[in-house]
This record gives sequence, structure tokens and C-alpha cells, in this order.
Amino acid sequence: MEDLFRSYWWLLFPMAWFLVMGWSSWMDYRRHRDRLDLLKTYAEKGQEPPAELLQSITRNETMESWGMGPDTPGHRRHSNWPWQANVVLFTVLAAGFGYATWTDLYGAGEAFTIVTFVMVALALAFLVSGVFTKKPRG
Amino acid sequence: MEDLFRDFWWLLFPIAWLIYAGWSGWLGERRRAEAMRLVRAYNERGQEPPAELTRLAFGKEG
Repeated sequence: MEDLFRSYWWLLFPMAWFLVMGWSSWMDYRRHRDRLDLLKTYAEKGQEPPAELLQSITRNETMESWGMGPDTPGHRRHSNWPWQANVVLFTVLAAGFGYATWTDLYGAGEAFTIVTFVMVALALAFLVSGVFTKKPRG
Repeated sequence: MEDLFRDFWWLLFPIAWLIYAGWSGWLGERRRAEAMRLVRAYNERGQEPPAELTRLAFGKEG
């Protein structure tokens, strides 16, 4: 059992990633369900719902919190953490894990190769998303 | 077992972060849900909810 853990401890990281994304999706689902319920009460009373409520229904806050959502005048992005910071973060992580792969750090070069690929993919994804996402005017 | 801990003690940091992030997200969600409940109460009484409350319920500050 201990040997198995020593060989595959790095699997904890992709597993944790899936857990985090699953948890975020669950939170998003609950939030949207509550908002739709609230919207229903406005519709039943024949009232106009607040603009913030209507805008919030079409948002994917999981992606926005990673700086990958559209930026519209009605709601700001997570302004303290711009997409460029994600690119820098994952590039530095990719470089670090790349070094670990190159030097076969802790004798786990193969595991670090996979982690390096994931980090490079994320850095590129944030870069492409940041460059091609429409910016608000003004 | 002790050897395993000596080799992988640093894993405690990402695991602790995961627990913290999950807990923090859950509390944020509860805060938002409570704000939404209040907005609904205002709506049922035919009143306009305060702007701060709608921001907490539908914005990202929650």
C-alpha cells in the first residue's frame, strides 16, 4: 500500500482538481437554481426583476473566478486577479515542474512530465482566453 | 508510516488549502443564499431591496 502511494501520490493533484471543479459546479448550480426561483416570484407578481438578477442568470461564475468569463459593463471581473496573473502563475509552475522533470527530482520524473503538460496547457488556455475575450468599452 | 509522513509532510499544505477553499466557498454561498432570501422577502412585501443587498445576492462580492 505504501509503495502504491509512493508511486502514484501525484494522482492526488488531478483528483483534487476534479473535486474542486465538481464542487464549484455544484455551487453554481445551487446559485442559479435559487436565482431562477427568485425570478419566478417576480414573474408571478408581474413585476420587473432587478437588472442584476437578470444579468446574474447567464453568468458562469466558476469560469469568471478564474478570470475566463466575459467582461460586461454590468458586472466586473475578479479585478484583483487579472488573466495575465494566471498566465504568469502557470508559466512559472510549468517551468518549475519542467525543471523537476529534467533533473528527475525525487526520482519522479515521469509524474512531473504529466504535471508540466497540464501547467503548460493551463498557461496557454489562460493566454488565449485573455487575448481573445472581448473587453468592455470605456 | 512514519517514513511516509517524513517524505510527504508537504502534502499537508495543498490539502489544507483545499479544505480551506471548500469551507470558504461554502460560507460565501450561504451568505449569498441568505441575501437572496432577504431580497425575496422584500419582493413579497412589494418593496425595493437596498442596492447593497442586491449586490451581495447577485454580484461577486458575496
